[in-house]
Amino acid sequence: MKKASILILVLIAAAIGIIVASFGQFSTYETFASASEHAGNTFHVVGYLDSSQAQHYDPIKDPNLFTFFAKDKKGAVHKVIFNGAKPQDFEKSEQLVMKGYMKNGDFHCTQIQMKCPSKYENNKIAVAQPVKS
Amino acid sequence: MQPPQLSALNQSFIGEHLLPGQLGHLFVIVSFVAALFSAFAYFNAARREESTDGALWQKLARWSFVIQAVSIAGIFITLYYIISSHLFEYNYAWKHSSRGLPVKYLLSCFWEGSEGSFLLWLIWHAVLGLVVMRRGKQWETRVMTVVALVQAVLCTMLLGIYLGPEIKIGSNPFTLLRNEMQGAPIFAQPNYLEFIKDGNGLNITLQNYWMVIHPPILFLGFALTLIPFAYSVAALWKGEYKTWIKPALRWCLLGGAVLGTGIMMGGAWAYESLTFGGYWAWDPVENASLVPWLTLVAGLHTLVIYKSTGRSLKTTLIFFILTFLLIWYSTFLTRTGILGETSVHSFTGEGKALYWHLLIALALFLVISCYPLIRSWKKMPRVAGEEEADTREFWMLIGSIFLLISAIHIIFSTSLPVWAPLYKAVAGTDIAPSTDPVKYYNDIQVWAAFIIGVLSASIQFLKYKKTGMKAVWKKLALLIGISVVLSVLLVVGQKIEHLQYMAFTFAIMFTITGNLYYLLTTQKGKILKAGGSIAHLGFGLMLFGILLSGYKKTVISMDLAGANRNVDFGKKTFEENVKEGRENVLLFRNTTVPMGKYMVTYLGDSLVHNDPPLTFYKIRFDRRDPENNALLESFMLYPEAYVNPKGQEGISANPDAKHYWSHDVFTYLTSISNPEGKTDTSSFQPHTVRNGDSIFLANTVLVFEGLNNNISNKNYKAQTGDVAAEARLSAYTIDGKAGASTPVYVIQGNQATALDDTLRDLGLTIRINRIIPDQQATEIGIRQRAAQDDYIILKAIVFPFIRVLWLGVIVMVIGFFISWWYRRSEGSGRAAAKAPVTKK
Repeated sequence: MKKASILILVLIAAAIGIIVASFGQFSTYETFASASEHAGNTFHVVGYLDSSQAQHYDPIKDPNLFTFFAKDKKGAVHKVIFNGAKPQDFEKSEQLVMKGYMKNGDFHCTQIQMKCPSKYENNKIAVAQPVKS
Repeated sequence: MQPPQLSALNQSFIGEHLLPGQLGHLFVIVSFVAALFSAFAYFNAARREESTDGALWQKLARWSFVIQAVSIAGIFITLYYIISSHLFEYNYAWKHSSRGLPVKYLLSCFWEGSEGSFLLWLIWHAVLGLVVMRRGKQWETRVMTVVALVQAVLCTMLLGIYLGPEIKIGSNPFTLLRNEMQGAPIFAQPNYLEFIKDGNGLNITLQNYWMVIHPPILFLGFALTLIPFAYSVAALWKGEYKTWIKPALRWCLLGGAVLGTGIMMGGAWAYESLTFGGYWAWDPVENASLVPWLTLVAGLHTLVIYKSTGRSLKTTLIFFILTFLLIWYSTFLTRTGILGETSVHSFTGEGKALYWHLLIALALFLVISCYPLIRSWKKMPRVAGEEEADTREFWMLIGSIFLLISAIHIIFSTSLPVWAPLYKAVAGTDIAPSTDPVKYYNDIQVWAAFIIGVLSASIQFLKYKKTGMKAVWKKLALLIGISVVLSVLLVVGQKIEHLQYMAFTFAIMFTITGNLYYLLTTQKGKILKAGGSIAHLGFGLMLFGILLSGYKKTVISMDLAGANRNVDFGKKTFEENVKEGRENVLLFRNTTVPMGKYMVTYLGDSLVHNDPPLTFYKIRFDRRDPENNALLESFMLYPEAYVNPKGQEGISANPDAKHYWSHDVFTYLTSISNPEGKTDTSSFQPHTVRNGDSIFLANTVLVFEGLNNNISNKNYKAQTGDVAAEARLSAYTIDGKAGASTPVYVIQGNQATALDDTLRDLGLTIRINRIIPDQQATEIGIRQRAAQDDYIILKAIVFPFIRVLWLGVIVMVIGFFISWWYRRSEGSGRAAAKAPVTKK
């Protein structure tokens, strides 16, 4: 076998090795319950805003603290403590992907990704207005 | 979305312009049919070469390709007409534009929607096809068969025809709003257009000048990957592997330059108008366009190997085919919504139809490229004997393979949502991307960049086929020595603490010094010949910019006041806890807060009457000498925000930055005080004044300069029968004159209305309560917003040496272009001298 071919094979093996090794860094989607089984570890939790309970953001007291309640896919509701400003259009989000960890029954969260209604849905809302007027 | 129903067709509507849409639709169908026929005719021409039949087919093929190109232009012009004439009966115009949109952003409406970006891609394919048609010579028929076929497939994306009630092929940009939203009660009225006063408008994050030029450049880059692909297929088909090298190489250089520019323009757009605080976030959409660029550059290098030594032909063909397939795969990833939760970009999600459409297209391209590849695999020329380890070609191949490994890692990780269901079936867990994606990618990609940088600097000292290693080692030892010294200085000076980034620093220094040395000594500064070295040098500078701006990026807006509020973010130490969540700072109007080296003052806001209205916030950064308090530096930044745009809540912010050669001070708003809520609680205080009187307020003196019948206030729109008077008041603060206000009082019949004016900097709203002619006096009502009700929340970041990054990108792209220019005539001579040695 050629020297070059051997080296190339080694490199490809290395690539597979790197990719397999990087698996360890992937996270998992959890629920509040399964996240609290590994308290302190950071996970993704997919949930929805619980609009029946109060949100709290008072930037004059603390611009980096926003708390709200979220319901996960299994229906469990927990308080979420987010260290940042309240995201734009938060109430309209259909779904939240929250990164963080459980501690004492609260979800401490460092990043929220919101899934907002698709443009098409927005359109429907906007079209209804001229009919009324 | 259902096919048009008969009831809708039978009804007639008032005020619709149906002709442009019908014309546009006709152009769509003609372009598809013409492209398909052109592919068929070129195919026949290629099979009957050298015969009169073949020449006839070629003529037909050319004409139909031209007709196709004209139709594409027709689609573009028609759609532009619809958008710029605000024909909101068309779904596309209504969905993506509005009357108030500045003309410069009309083009951006094209690429907000999926159909428009496919159209952009089609335009570039048509242009490139015409160039290949003119200059392709003996390769024209085969290359154009592929180009026209791909073009026909791309045209299907715009067809918008139904196969049965469920399956829709493509999405036509000329559909009417009433057909897209059937069942909406508004369309029951024949005069529905009277109610649709305005379109939905362009997404405000796209209203940025980078968004006018970034998509066309990026799509030109996408389109350019088609040409090396088409040449690869053509070479396999023809079984001739020599004369395609030069054109493929030049197209490939052009593609590398343009695609690279397009990707980094996206980074510049993200930096200037998005608020994730950077130019690159390893977001799936960014990754999906980076990966084909990496494989294209790998293919470029192996093609150079093939040109000089006759080796690596198969590798080159695979790289070019892979690049093109990856472009379509990335379209699949970013357009079908399959990335879902993993990307911050918003996707319209065209649904299942587009999903299968793109998969079928991908499968078709896989077949037309891999079938001839496999069939010709054994017949391809190859060089006898083994490659020596001290040759240029050997290490260039290794470098290319590292580019491929880097690409595989990125695309595999980005595709996580694609293979996650499979993973769940096997392992049983819902796998998610790393919680820290930037670290995840950097941990591996920094090492890939390390290897590629080091190779790019050292390989050029080797020769093709055989090298005397002694002289090379001498040079390399010198360069390594210099680089070690420089990187130690940098590591110490910049306080780089991680081993990974210390190594990276060395690789960068080595890349820069190695390429500079080669440029100056071996190539003796002959710029035209040195495209490669210049591109490598740019690559090194780019990495340098990435290291300095990324590693030393500092958030200076630390909320020190809140430090003792002790929120636990799960970090090990108190300091880390404090740092984690304290990156937003609250600033009241006219108060000053320290940020890093700066004292930052919020001076007030100002409204631009755009559509939607844009507010900009005046923020002053001062730096003083800590010893004698002398002012060393002072500048203003104006970050902008759309406040509650289009019924959304909160703000959509645009950052602003002060650029220095050594660093950028970058700032944006994360939140503001509620602009309406609190100000309503304070009331108008009446002041009765005569000409020249002063009104004393907190921090401000207003001087009443009298009434006037010439109205200058722009918000006043005169109507017949109006009697209007305008008051003029000048505002003074301790700094001097701070502006003027012109409230208006209008009497229409026996009704009086007051038109308020604001001095937003001072938080003042001023109104004429009444005019008292017998006393020659005027009663002015003044409402002053309390400064504590008026605040912004700000994030500020210092990016050191981000200019080095942009400089690196520019140098790299210039390197590509120099090579492209140089090889327009040269190369033929050198390639002929070193024609590939063939052995059957």
